[in-house]
Amino acid sequence: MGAAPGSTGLPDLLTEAAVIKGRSLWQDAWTRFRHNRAAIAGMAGLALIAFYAVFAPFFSAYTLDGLDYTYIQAGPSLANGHWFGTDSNGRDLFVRTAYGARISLLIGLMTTIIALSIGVTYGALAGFLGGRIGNIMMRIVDVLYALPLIFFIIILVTVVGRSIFLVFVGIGAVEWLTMARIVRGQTLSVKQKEYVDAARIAGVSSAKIIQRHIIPNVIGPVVVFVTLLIPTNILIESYLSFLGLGVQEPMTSWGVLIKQGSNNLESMPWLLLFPATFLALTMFCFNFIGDGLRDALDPKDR
Amino acid sequence: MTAFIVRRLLYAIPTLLAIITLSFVLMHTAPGGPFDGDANLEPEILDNLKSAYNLDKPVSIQFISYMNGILHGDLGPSIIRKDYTVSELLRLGLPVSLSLGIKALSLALLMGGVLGAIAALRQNSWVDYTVMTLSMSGIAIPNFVVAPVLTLFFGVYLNLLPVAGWGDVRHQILPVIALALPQVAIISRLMRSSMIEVLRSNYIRTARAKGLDHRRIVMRHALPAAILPVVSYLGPAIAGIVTGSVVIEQIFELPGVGRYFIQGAIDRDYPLVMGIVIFFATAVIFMNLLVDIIYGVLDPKIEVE
Amino acid sequence: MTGQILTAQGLNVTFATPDGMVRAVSDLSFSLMRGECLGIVGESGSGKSQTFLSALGVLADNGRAGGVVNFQGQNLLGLTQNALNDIRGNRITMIFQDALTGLTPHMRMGEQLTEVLVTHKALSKQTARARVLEMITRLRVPDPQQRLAMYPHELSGGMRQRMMIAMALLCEPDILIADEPTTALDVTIQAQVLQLLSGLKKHTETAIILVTHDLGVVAGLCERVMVMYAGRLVEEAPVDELFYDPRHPYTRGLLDSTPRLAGSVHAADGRLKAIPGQPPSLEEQITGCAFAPRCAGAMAICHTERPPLRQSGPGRRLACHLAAPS
Repeated sequence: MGAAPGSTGLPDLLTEAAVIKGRSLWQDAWTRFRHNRAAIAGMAGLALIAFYAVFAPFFSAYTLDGLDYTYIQAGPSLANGHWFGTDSNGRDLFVRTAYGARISLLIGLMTTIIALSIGVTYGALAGFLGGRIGNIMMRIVDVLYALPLIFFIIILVTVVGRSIFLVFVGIGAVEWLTMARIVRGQTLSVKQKEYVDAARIAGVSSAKIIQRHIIPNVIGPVVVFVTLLIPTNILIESYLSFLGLGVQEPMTSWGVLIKQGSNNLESMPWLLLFPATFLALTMFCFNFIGDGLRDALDPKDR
Repeated sequence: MTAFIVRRLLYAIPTLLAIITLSFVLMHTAPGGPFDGDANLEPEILDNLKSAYNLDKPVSIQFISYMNGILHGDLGPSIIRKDYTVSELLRLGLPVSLSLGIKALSLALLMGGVLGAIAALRQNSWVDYTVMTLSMSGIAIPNFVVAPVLTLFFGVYLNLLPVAGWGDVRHQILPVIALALPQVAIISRLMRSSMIEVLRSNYIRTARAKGLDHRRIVMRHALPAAILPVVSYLGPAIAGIVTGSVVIEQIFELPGVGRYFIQGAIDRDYPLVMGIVIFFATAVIFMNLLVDIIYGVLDPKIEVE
Repeated sequence: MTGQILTAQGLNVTFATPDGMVRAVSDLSFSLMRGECLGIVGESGSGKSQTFLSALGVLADNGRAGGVVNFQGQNLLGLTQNALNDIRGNRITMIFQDALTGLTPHMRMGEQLTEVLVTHKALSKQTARARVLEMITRLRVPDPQQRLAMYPHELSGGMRQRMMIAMALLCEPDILIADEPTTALDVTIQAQVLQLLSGLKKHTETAIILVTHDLGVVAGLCERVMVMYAGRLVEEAPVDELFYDPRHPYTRGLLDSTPRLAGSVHAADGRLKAIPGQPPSLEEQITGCAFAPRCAGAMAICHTERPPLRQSGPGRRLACHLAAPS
């Protein structure tokens, strides 16, 4: 059954078959996702929050650290333009929460990208290489996994001093572990599937195998994990900022705002209320989306 | 079983060594030092200070003497809190942190386990939805938001419980609850999904077909199997509690190790930070070993070899 | 051997799934006599297992059963779980196909067996254990004391199945339902299990319902056979008559597709005669006879009108337009 040059040989057939199979799975998943009301609500919520983060300052007359001496420690009011109130220095909370949103969301996103890059590369390598090397790589992950995040961050802070750069690197450098585990697990299981063997026997190149078979199957759990990692990282950033180890003045994030809020909870409860509510809402949205994705991509995994 | 333990201990030693070495190297090769804050020191005084803390000797010698110290239980003096050694500070703060952590963990396991099991047994009922919503809130709302709110509510408005300090039971209620809540949320979800899966299994069907009463099926046939994923989660749960305790100690002004930790980082008190890290790393590694042993004992299918 | 101990009328079992309502069993009626061995034959999805799972009240959460299943004057389908607990494991017992997943993995065998007696007969643990030992010794389990101390995954497949059977016989039930008891086992173990069941028939009054897709198993053990397809009963007959005079095309197809050593029944080119096509999806309403699309002799009426189940001889029932014209 020699294939004439230029005709569709077996390798091409196999790679094309994989692509077709992949596409209908995505469509299936998308349909399921679309019908999950919580997930759609989550996406809408996130869109609104993002809109707020970017455009809110344009709607208000006030700035990030402009001091309004007329309204110090004022509660929220529609009349005087300080819709979320002001803090003890007279800074407008509405605008500050928006700027905080920008930083928190940005940090969440970027640290996730860092963790994603490191984790996927490491995990894919460990899974693909397999054998001794793969095992040793995962052992290292296991060991690091057991240690609380706070250690690394504290060590980094002690060494580098407090800076926003630290936040990026620190969080990303710690959160890649679970990602690596997931990717490696998926790579291993896909490697063992029969269609990979079939493709290999038929002469499909390794690169194509990775591209057409391994990546689509690994992407699913990775995507789900990413949607759950972003809020985790946002939370970690707030945690660090709350402790004074993260974002520093004059920049602000939800963590910083929450800290200021919790210090003044009795006298100015709105200072805690608004940033905390935004944080919680963001978390909920991401969780709904993550759950929705998980159900969509693997419905039996309830 | 013994072989397993020995092997894990052997793995633990290089891990610890790695952590110690890594922290040491980081601290001593980074720019800046513990005396940066003491501005305007005359050079001689600075040199004397450095010499007193051995900071003028080559790094390798410092490392050896440090390691030597560790083996003798001496973690060195705290540079910033000049009247104390690290070990003394640890001894002061540990009882508080340990007590807080253990209580929070126990509460989390108990509440999380019970809530998750109930939610699974009454799947899709209002009980289930309530538990799921509460647990999602517990995960989404960080404990440093919940803690001040709890404080405000119970401490200030209702004036029921003290909001700071550590002493009798009343002081412990709010911090322990605040620390436990996120873990309660996670554990209840874990328990719920595990229990649901177990309840759908073939052996539960057999148990029902045997006409056993519901209580026996749940307690003897379902729960022991459903609990396993929760036991696996113990390691990360402990890590989460350690991490959370740092914040809780700050908020409630508890004289635990967490406060020294943060302050040490800000002040760049190397020995203190390192001492705490080493201590906790050791503790965490041993606890993970313990968790693995417990898991091996509970699951008869696993030969702990 | 007098009297019916189990009767069913108009039994329906449905499952609510995201893709629609699945009708696993439709309008099933049958009766079981004391001490008899009844075979239920059908392929996967024919509804044969769900029939008895519903009778015992152990359907999955999304399943609903309607109709009447009468045991000793009570409709099992109307009983609460608590009331059913007195009957299951005690008067009516069931053994399942896969003993590995069907036994609790973290409990030793001893406890799983004694708990039946402790629950239903209020025996003390010691007395129960003595009875259990006696039972499994009778079932030819070697080193019984040792075996009872083991966990299910430590036993061999055949041993596990024996334990399951022991569990089901401890209370001397009126009915034993065996759901595919030999399917997961290799041939030699199959023979042992069948021997056990045959011994049970000879020495006790326990009626046996044998649910299987394997006609060979039924031939050796059962007195009467019911053939199910797509959730309905299509043919019922005494065992000999079913094998020598099958009237429903599906029954004939099943018999023809059984591989045999003397190949007289096979097609001319020596290949196995399979029934062409697939069983229908149970989500949609089926018009006409469910088997019509695959039936070589299907007539026009077969596609439009469902053949009613009718007596087609002493002890025989049949639902087919072709074989029993109205």
